[in-house]
Order: sequence, then C-alpha cells, then structure tokens
Amino acid sequence: MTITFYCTCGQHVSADQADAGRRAICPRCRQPVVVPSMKAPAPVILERPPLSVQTIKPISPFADPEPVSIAVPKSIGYQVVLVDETCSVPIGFPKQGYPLKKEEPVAESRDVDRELEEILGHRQMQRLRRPWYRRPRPQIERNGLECMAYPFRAFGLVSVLAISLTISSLLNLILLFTDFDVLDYGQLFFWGVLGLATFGYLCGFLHCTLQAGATGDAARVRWPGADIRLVLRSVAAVAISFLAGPIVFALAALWFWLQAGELTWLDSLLLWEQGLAAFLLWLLVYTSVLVNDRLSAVSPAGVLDVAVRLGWRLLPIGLSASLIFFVHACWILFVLETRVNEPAAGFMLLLFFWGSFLSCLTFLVRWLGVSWYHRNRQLEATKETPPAASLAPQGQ
Amino acid sequence: MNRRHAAWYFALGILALAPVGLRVLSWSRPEAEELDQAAVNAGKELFVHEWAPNDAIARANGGDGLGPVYNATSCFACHKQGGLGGAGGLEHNVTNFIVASAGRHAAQSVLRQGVVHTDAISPEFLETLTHVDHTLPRISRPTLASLLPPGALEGKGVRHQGRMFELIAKADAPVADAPVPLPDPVEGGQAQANPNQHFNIPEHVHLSQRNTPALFGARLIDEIPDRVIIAQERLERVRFGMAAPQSREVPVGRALRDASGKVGKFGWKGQSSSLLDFVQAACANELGLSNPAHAQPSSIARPEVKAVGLDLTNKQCRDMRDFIASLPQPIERNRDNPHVAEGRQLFTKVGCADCHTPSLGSVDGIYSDLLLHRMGDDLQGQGSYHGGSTPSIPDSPGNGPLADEWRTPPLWGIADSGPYLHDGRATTLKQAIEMHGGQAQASARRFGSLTPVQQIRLITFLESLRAPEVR
Repeated sequence: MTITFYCTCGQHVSADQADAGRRAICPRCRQPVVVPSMKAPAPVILERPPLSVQTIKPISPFADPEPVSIAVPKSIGYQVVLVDETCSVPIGFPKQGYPLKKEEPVAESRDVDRELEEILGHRQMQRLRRPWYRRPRPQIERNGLECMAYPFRAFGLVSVLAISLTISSLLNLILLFTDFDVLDYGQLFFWGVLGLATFGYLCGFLHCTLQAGATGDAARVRWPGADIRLVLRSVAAVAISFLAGPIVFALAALWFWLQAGELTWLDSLLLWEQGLAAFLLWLLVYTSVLVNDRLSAVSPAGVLDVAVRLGWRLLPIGLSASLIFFVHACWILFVLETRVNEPAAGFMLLLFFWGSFLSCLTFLVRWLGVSWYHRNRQLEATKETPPAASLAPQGQ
Repeated sequence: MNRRHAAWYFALGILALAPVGLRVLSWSRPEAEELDQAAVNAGKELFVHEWAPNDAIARANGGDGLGPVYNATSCFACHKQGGLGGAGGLEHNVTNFIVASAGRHAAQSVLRQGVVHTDAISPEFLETLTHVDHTLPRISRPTLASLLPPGALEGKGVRHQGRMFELIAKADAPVADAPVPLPDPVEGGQAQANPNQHFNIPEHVHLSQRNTPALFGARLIDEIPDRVIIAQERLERVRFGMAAPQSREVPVGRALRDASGKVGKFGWKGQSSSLLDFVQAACANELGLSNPAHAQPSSIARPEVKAVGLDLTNKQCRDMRDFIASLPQPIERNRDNPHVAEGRQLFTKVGCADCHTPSLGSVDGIYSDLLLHRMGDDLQGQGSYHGGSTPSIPDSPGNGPLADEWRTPPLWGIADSGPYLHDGRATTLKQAIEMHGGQAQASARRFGSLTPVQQIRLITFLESLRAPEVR
C-alpha cells in the first residue's frame, strides 16, 4: 500500500508503506524527509479503492491545460483540493454533483472562470487568483503556543459544535424536567438523534485533530464529514479511553462528593484531585489509542509507552490541562447553580462554556498530537538514514 | 516488560486514590447508645405527667410549671394516636403566626412570629388572634377551616375525572373543648368569637397550623448521620440534572442546616437537628416548660411578663428523649399480600418514592428523604416554633425554609397518623396525595391517571404502614 504525503517544499509524494518511518530524499527539493509512520486523514481517502475516476480539465488559470486524473470518492468526507503537482496551486474543489463528468471534454469557449466562481464563490476565487507564493502554506505547529491557533482555524466547526452541544444539553435537561407521560416520542427521538450526532461529531473532530497533528498534517482542519464509520470509531475511542481507567477516578470523585457530607477544604481538594486524575488519564489513554490507531492501546503498556515517549512534553500539557479543567469545572458548576433563576444568562453561560471548553480541548489534543509528531521525528532522526528510494511525485 | 508496566500503572492509580481512601477512613461513624431503662421509665413518667401551674416537679427545679401559655397539659394529650407517642388529631393543631412589615410573603421583613397558644393559666395571659393583629377576631383556638381560603379544603391540587374528594367534615367540625373565656375586647378587633367562621386575614399577617406528628422510630431518625441526608440531597440533584434544590418543578430536596451547620431532621420544617432539641422545643412551646435549651414563651397578651427559673433540667429532658427513643419503629403489615406488593410497586412507579424514599442510610421502611421540598402555593405555612430564630429568606438555599417548603414526613405508621399533611387538611390518604403540589405535582398527576383499582392498591399499601402496638 502507498503512503502519500506532502514534503515541506509542497511536493506531493508517495512512498511504499514499508518505508514508513524511514528517511528519504524529496525528488523535488532533494531535502531529507521522513515518511510518516501512519496515515494522515486526507490520504486515507485517497488510499481507498477509488469509487470513481474522473478526468477533468484543470480550469484554474494557473494550471497546466492538460487534463488530470484523480480519484474522487462518491461520498467525500474530507474536503479534497485538487493540486497541480508542479506548483501546488489548488485548481478546484470537486464535490458531489460536480458538473464535470468523466471524459467530458470542456468546450474551449466556456467561461471557466465564471463557472469556477459560481462553484467556489467570490472569496475563494479571489484567494485562488492570488499568486501561489503569496499564499501562506500551513506548517505543522512547533509548540503549544502555536497549537493555540488551531481552534481559531477551526472556528466554524467549534462554533457549530458548541451551539449543538448547548442545544443538546438544554434539551436533555428539559427531558429530565418533563413528565414522560406527556412526552411526544417523535420529539424524544429527534432530541436523542441530535444529541448522539452532536456527541459523535465532537468525538470525530477531536479524533481528526489529534491524528492530523500526530501525522504532521497541517494542510487544513480535518473533520469526519460523511464518514460515519470514522464517527463511530471516534465515539468508541472516547468511550473506551474513559472506561479503561479514568472511570475509576470519576466514580471515586462522584461517590466521595455524594457521601462526604458538608465539604471541608480538604474534601474539596480531594475532589479536585480525583477529577483532575480522571481528566489527565483520559487524555493520555485517548492519545495512546489514537496515535497507535488501535483500541487495544488502552492497555497499561500502551499508555505508559506513550507517556514515556512524550517525556517532559507531558508536563506543560498536564499543567495546561489542569488549568483548563479547573476553570471549566468551576464554570459549569456556576452555570448549573444559576440557570434556574436566570434562564437567559444560564443559556449564554452554557454556550460560552461549550465554546471555551471545546476550543481548549481542541488545543490540548492538537498539542498532544503535534508533540507526538515532533517526538517521533526526533526519534527517527537519531536512527540511521535509510537509502533514499521509492519516492515518486504523486500523480506522475 | 508488560508486567512491570502494569505494576507501575496500578501503583500510580492506587497512589492517586489513596488520599480519598484515607479521608473516608477518618469519617466518624455514630454508634448506637444503649438506652438506660431507668431513664426511659423516668422519661415516660414525664411524658404522661399532667402538668399544672406551679407543678411540684417544676418547682423543685425553680420553675413555674405549666404555662403561662400552653397548648396541652401533657405530651400524651396530643401524642396518643396509635399508641403512646403517636400523632395527634386536628383538635390539637398548633396555630403559628407571622407578622411581616409588608406583604404576606415578604419573609425577609418578619417583625414577629410565634405560636398562638390555645390555653393560659389565667385569662390575662390568654392569647387570641387579636393580639397578633387588631383586625383579627378574638379567638384563641381557630379551626383550620377558618384560616384557609374558602375552597382550600376541597383539594385544589388535582381533580380526577371531575370527581372531588370526600367531604372534610373533621376540619369543619367545632373543636371539642368548651369555649375559652376571652379577655376584654381589644379595640378594633372583629367582634367574632365563632372559631369556625372564615375571616379575612390582613396581607401582612400569615397564619397557619401544624398537626401533631407521630414519634415512633424517632431514635432511628436521630441516629441518621447528617452525611446520609446530604448525600440524598446531592443524589436527587444529580438525578435531575443538578437542578436547584428549591426548584418548583422537580423533586429535588434541600437539607436545612441550623445555625451550627447541623442538618434538621425533626419538625414539619426540619427545624430541629436532634431529637433532644425537638423535645426541648416542644416542652417549651407546647407546655410552657422552660428548659436549658429553650425558654418558655411569654404570652403575646402580656409580653412584659418573663419566665423565671427552669421547669425541666437537662437530665429530665434527656430522660424524655430516651423514652421517645425507646418507642419502637412502625411496622409494615401484610408485606406479602399481593395487593400491598402491587401498591408498593405503584408507589415507586408514580414517583412517590422520589421523595418518600423507602430507606435512608441504614434505616429501612422510613419512606422519607428528610429533606425540604417545595409543595406548591396551596400548601404554604410560615412561622417558626423557635420564635424568630430562623427567619425565612426566599431564594436563599442556605437559610430558613420557604413558606411552601416542607420536610418529607416519614410515611411509616401513616395509617395511624391521620389527618394528613402539615395542618391535617387531608382527612384521607387519597386526598393527601391529590393535594400534593409543587415538586410533587407530577407524581400527584400520575396518581390521578391511575385506574381506580390501581389507586386503591396504592392506598392499600399505605394503609399497611401501621404504628407499632404500643401500650
């Protein structure tokens, strides 16, 4: 099987999977490049058996006029950008219902610019018209500070998820307050589906964020799209990561809170400690599952291996996670205490809570993924350089 | 390698859990005290003792005996239904009052509160409603029907299929005792002495009554640690999405803390945190017996006359506490009867068990969470036994109870404790259920939607909860 990836010079290259983790020489810039040890989300789609092969004529004014063959799945989960391999200029955004059909010749007289603008919109077209060398090329983040920008890159997704989570959590609260005898089962089904879909896509988004970081994929913000299997795998990863250890601390915290009576400062401290232990362990187990891309990585050996490999990088991540946990735990407790008396303020607080929490969680998992990526590169760099071979520009 | 990893992993986990484990080990576990039979006997003597002004027992302690104002002359006079220590009838209701500076529900501006006692050692001390407010009639023993809004006793809570409840003959019946001699009329007072006739109550005055509760199983309640009640409070919050404890819609209760932070377990408003405090407060307020914890109330007719000396010593109070603690736990009859079993299932199904939890901590069959629940606008009652020590402050969970907040009464022995609800306005169990409002509204509605046979089954189950056979 072939791994496809980008070199830092922008060259889209492919390599045999057997070379994963080895160093190679980029055919374009002649610089050493490490073949990723696992698949990036975007190439996952390209690696699948093509569902339909389309030959389209590039319609960008910057592109080579020769037609290009690409594999386009019928149901595109990731937003695929066609790239002119020689200059990395995006030449179009095919999607379902794309007007160009297989082998359909494009009439020379067609106003392709106008057609493309209709498809892409004016802003995107303006962006395409910019010279490629002026466009910023996304680079993988180098540290946690740069990872902070990732939630802003994913602002749209985070916002939609935050709004969905706010609505879902409020509907679920309403369900708790509702007498089931008078409940409409249609409504119940709709709310249930909405809640499950929101949770599924939240898990899927986190999954893509961490795995993209772990494979050094900085091209764009990844999300599951229509890949329901990925959504289900993501939910399973989140759930199993929680069940394989963190649940003990979470249940201990819940039981202690229920049974402790009036809380002293020591009791509060112990509660925070248990909650934090659950959250940090979950992050670690979750990272282990995703970077190894298998659920069995929840085992103590797998988790400790990840912890040992990340080493000191876990310390700043853990401290940031602790701060995020503390602030958001206080926040949600405050929201829960105030929402009954002030519904409007409670709603806004809940919305901002989800927005903030999702952003912080995205930042954390991205940081973990990126740390894993850099650590792996560091480890690979210390190994002996393998002979450069079998790298070929993609599409040639 | 894997084994070493696993060892490290679990060692770290245990290390993280260890502080909680150590803390749990440090929790105190109350141990049940053995009751001294001599103290129990002495307490029983005091419980049934007919007190009189300048009573010999009180005089020995330097007190003045019964009064000057009182509701009964002995504990047994009220606590006798189903046996010694049982509940009391409607005729023994206690009338509480609150005078606020503005508005009936403006509890933050309470000026005066207390009890309108039904009797006094002499006419000059006799309290009447006129002493609470000059526009009220000169009666010292108003009936429940006269205090409630017209129609309140007809059960505004739930009407099932257009049927109303049984008539409330008991509430409207005149009190058994002979009319008490009244003091000179106070200027402005309504010239009315019929205790059954409804009269207008000013906005700034709130009058409500309390029915005598049964004391069976009080020791078990007293021994429930505060932690258990607070745990129940938190569990109810978790169950309903962390809803606020003073929610109007969902059955989420609130543990009332007294000034020392202890959780209230006794009294209709959960105002007493221990059986001893409950006994001492009752002795002072119902019998006018001063004790080290509670002074006997001055008459609102002669507030300038203060009590001197103690009528009861600490030991005598503890003896009475021990006697009440010796009263057995109520019993559940016909447990294996299929109708009772079905009724028990329906009791849980309709949601009664959300608040009337069958067990609390290690106490089985209590059918109460001992928490305060909001019971709706129709079931309001302000005023404190303690004469203003715990003023209600609305929307302030850490403070005194709201007007519609009531401690879930334990249902054990309920079949022998009628009439029901805090002031005995419900003469039947069915009526009591249907009058539930506020947080219990949904359960009452579900009860109303049961078939008549199912309703009878549920009532049958409640009727199986009987007082112990106490002589």
